[in-house]
Amino acid sequence: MSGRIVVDYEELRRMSRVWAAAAKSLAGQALSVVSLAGEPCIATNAVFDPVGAAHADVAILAAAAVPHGLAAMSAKFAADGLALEAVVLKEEFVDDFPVRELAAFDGWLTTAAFRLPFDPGGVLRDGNARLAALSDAGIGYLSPFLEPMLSMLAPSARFRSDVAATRPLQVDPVFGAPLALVGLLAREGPGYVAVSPVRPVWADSPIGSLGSAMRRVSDLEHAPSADLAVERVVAADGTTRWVVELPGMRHMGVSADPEDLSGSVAAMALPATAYTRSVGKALDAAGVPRGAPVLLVGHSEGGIVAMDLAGDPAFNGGRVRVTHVVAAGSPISSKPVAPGSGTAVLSVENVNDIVTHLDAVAAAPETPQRLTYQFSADAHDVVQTHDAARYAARIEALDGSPNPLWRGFADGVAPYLQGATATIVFNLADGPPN
Amino acid sequence: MSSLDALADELRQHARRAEAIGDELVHAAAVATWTSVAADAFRAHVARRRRDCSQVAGMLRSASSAVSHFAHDVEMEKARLRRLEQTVVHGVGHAISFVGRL
Repeated sequence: MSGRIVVDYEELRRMSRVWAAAAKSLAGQALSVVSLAGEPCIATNAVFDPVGAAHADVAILAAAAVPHGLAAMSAKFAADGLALEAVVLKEEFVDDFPVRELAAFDGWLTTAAFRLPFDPGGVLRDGNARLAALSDAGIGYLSPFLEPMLSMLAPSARFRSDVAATRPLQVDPVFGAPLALVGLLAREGPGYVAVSPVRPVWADSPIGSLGSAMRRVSDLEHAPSADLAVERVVAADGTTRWVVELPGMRHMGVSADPEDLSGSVAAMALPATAYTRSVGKALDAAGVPRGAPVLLVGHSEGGIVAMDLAGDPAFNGGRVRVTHVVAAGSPISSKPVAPGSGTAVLSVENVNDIVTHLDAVAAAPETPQRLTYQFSADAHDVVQTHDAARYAARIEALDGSPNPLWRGFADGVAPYLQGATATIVFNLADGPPN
Repeated sequence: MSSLDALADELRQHARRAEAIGDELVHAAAVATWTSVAADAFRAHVARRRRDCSQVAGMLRSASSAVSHFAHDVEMEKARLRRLEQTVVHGVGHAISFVGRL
């Protein structure tokens, strides 16, 4: 990765915290060591060796104070920590501030009154577009602060307390109504799949890398119909593994397939949806044997569906064995895997992507089985900031990372990415055609 | 263990803790998922800071050594004084016994 600049402000923030803790520890040590110079045992024994006592005191004070002692080191570390924090704050509050969009809207406000008599329709359309752009950019700017804002401002007290306690959400933020009601309001169909006649250019070629798998998910999101892909990978030793690529929401509103707004809301609120059932049917249709090892790769709603499946013991450990989940831009922090499944999860989250904050739960702590990689990349556009291809590029940028948790995960999924590959793309629907 | 030896031991523990802090920083930077030219420069900076921590640890060990020497010299001096005291006591005892015999 050398030669490519990828500044990660979330990582800098973590470093800043490590630095501040080190500075605090060193400052505490400096005080402790200074107090040792005043220990009565030195003064009381000085009568026997005044020169030795003075020498010991000088050495202790030199180790504790300036110019190279503990206190000086503590000050250097504190300065380092502040510099790191300043870089992060500058990025978050200054560099990410939607200046261009604000200036554009301000320019419209200044000139609208003069232009309105000549072209009222055009002026209003222009103002509407500039306000929409400003709102769009504002969402990305405020997204990193969504959890604290919700914990303070959401009308529902139950919701606020759930957010403050980082509990999985059970109710909606406005009325406090149980999210399980979503199942009643947005009826989820039984799910339906049919083999798609469309063959992507990458079909039947080895996936190669996790970034490439996410690019395939991105391709499927831009296909004319709601799709998912099941890829059979046969390794050189004859072992067969399966990769399932799950695209996210393709359109706002309600449609006859699960990759719509109602499907996404249902995936967040319910453990089983038309999408999860469609995945099971796709595995049956693809001939995936029971207990086969599976890697689930999903973006947005696809990532939520992947975690819903990984958390379902009837699917994970029953129908198949989900060894790994890769979710990008998905609010899955509160979603667990099935107990005893050993499924490893990599969640990739852009902190400026509001979708990753929709569960209002901060990222799960890092463990060998659960790695959350957060980064900050604000495109000043909700759709672009959430784009699967951007996530794919970010995952590709992780390839050279020395992080042992990342390396462990990458080594674990490596067998899924090389070998003779056969691809089946399925069209999805909420239910069978009438 | 004398109180001075305990003091020297405490300084050695501080030295070990300072080194551990340097190691923690290097570890935190090494396991960072962050990859870039800037990250490489940052890790080099962290390596410099660890050297600084090692230098401080060296100063603490020097202080510990100075206290140990002081403790040793104090013990030697106390031993010398005890010997002197015993010599004087014996001398006085002999003198009294000599005077008594006279």
